[in-house]
Amino acid sequence: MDQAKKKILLVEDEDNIALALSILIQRQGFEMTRVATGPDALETLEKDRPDLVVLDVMLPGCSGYEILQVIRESEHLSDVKVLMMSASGGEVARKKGLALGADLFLTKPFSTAQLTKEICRILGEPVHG
Amino acid sequence: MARRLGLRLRFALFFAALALGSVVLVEIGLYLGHARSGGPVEGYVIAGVIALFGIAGAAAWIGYLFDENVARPILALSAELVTRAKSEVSSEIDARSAKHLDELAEASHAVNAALEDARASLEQALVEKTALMARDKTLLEALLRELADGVVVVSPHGRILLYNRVAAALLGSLGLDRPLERYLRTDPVKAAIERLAAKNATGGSATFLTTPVSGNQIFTGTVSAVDLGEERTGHVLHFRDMTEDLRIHGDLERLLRRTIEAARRPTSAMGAVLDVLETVPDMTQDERARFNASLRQELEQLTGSLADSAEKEQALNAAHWPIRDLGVQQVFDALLLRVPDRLEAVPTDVVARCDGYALTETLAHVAEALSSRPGYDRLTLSAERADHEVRLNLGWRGPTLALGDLEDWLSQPIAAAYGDYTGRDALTAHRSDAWVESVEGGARIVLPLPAAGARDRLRAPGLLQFYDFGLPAHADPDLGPRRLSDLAFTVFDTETTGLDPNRDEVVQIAGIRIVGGRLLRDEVFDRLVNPGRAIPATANEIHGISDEMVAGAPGFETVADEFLRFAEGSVLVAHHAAFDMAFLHRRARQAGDTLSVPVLCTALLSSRLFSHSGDHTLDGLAARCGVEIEAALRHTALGDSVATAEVFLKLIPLLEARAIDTLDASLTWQSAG
Repeated sequence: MDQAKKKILLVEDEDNIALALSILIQRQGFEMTRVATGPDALETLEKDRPDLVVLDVMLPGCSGYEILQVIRESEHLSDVKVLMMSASGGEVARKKGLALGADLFLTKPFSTAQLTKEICRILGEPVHG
Repeated sequence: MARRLGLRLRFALFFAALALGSVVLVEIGLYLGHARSGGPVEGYVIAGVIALFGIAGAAAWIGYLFDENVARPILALSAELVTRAKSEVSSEIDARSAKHLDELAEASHAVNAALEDARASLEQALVEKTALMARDKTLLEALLRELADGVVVVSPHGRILLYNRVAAALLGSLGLDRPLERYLRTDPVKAAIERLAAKNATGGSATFLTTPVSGNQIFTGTVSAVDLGEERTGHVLHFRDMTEDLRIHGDLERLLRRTIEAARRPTSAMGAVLDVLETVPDMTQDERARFNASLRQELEQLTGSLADSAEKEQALNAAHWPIRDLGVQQVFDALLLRVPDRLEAVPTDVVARCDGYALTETLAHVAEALSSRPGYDRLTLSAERADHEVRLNLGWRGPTLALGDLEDWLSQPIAAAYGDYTGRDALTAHRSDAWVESVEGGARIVLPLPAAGARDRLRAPGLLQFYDFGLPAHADPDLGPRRLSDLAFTVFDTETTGLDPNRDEVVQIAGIRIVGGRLLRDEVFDRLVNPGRAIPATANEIHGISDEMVAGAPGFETVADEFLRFAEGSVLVAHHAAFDMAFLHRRARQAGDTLSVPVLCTALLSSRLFSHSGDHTLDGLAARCGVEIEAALRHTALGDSVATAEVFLKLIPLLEARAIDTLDASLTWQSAG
């Protein structure tokens, strides 16, 4: 499967959400890495360039916005796709995320089906299941 | 005795006596001539009769000429001089009225000019002496104008001495010298004053919670005493409308309760379903599918409920934050002063809804931190309006800024006065955020704010004219013995469908208040009235009020009651007051009531004060008193009310100069004419 080669970095500090998303993303055939903090995300990004970052806004260490800014300003990461998720902040959070360069901004709660569909759409892959 | 007869009558009596004396002397001469010379008596009788009529006619003719050219001019010049001496009328004396007394007219001119010079010198001295007071007064007025809370100062007897615009917006059409209890339930305020007195401390204040008389709002505030030496001169009330805050607080409480209730049921249901799924491993495929569907249904319900609550909470808090429409340029100006030399601003006229102080402090903090870094020392402020928001931009040429640094600056307290309140708190309160965007050749911090919404009803433009600390401390309910300069007057005028008060109707009524000798241009009553019949073209030509203009207006029975409430406690004044009062009396009769209110008429007062003149129209009187009536406002009820009020203010010193200084004296004097 081609999409098995596409790599996704999930940056999510909530373990249960991370567990659910990991299973669903892997079932779509993607290779997935999960980290729980901002600094870990930055370290992982430097070591292994993903195709897509699924990024929570509220993170320990530094915010998802800061990670997004680093991605967009990095020469070798700037074209990495970023899908941001936020549980609060409303319209202004969405505007801020998109202004900083997110490809999509989802506000929680959203369905896992919606998330996997958007991941596949951003990566140009068909949805399985 | 002689003064009571009047100058013209005395001159007339003088000429009559002169003629009578001459006739008597001629008749005695003829009688003696005939007695000595003898002869037919008819010749002496004819001579006597001719002399009688000749002398009488000559005396009458000379007397008439004297009256026209001397007596009347003396009275006219006298009135002109008294008017100028008492009422500060500065126009030149009309020389034509002096007739043969041209030398006296010249002397009058000289006296008038000297008086003007003396007044000018006095005014100049007063201007200089009061310049500092005027500055302080302007500062005080600006302060009161900008206060977001209502402020009212009352006398020890509860009469209003000062109010600001916010107080007027909260309590309705406030009026100077009116009792505060007409607008506000004052028992809680009185209780606070008693608590204040019990504390027996100067400079303290006591809190109160009350409502307006209508009872549909809740105000919270403080009251403090104003003492001048040993004397208590009044109390200052400072209050704000808590209705919205309390409503939002109540709504938030209810929302929280509903959210908890809404979460409790689906979570219990989900727990039960999960229990079954875990404890019954051998359930059929269909059973498992039904339980999964139940779980999904409960979850969706919980999710929907939370989303609904979040939306409502956001809407309630958005209405709650203490912000107002503010010109962004004001924020920029403050920032340019706070961060001089390192900041420039692109002029803007956009208006945003924000807490100007918190926003300025937040941006100043960021700009100071940013500009202290090498390469960030030239910052540019700009603002742009997009859709329903205003974006503030703080830009620079050079490298971008790490969001983490911006977040660090925003996490610090913005000002000592705000306690631990941070820039991040300020942004959250504005439902906003800030971020960094790269632009060509540089970068900028973007901070979006809601654009200005509806005009704040509490911030209508205009000057503060709502105070008079010179009002007497105690208002005697018996108006008669009170001095004219201490009374409250409502000067009013009506526009009608015609000139017959028995058949015609009012189409407009207006009034303006005079309190303590000051015309209160902000305290006006101005209403159109539906006369219930067509307005004749002849009437429309005079006042310009058409049937269409009054179609939606209330009838006179409603407006008259409103007007009398506006005029309550004051003396009514009008030009040809009998005409205007006839409509009010008719309305009172229709309501089965009688109208008992003191009324002064400027036309009657004019005919007594200027008895030598035949022109007692409002225009004539205004011209005599040096009052200019704007042509566009003439024959509008409010325009004529204002003109009449200005004229009346000029008449008061003339009345006082004749020792007619109380209401009773004025009423007696005007009706004795």
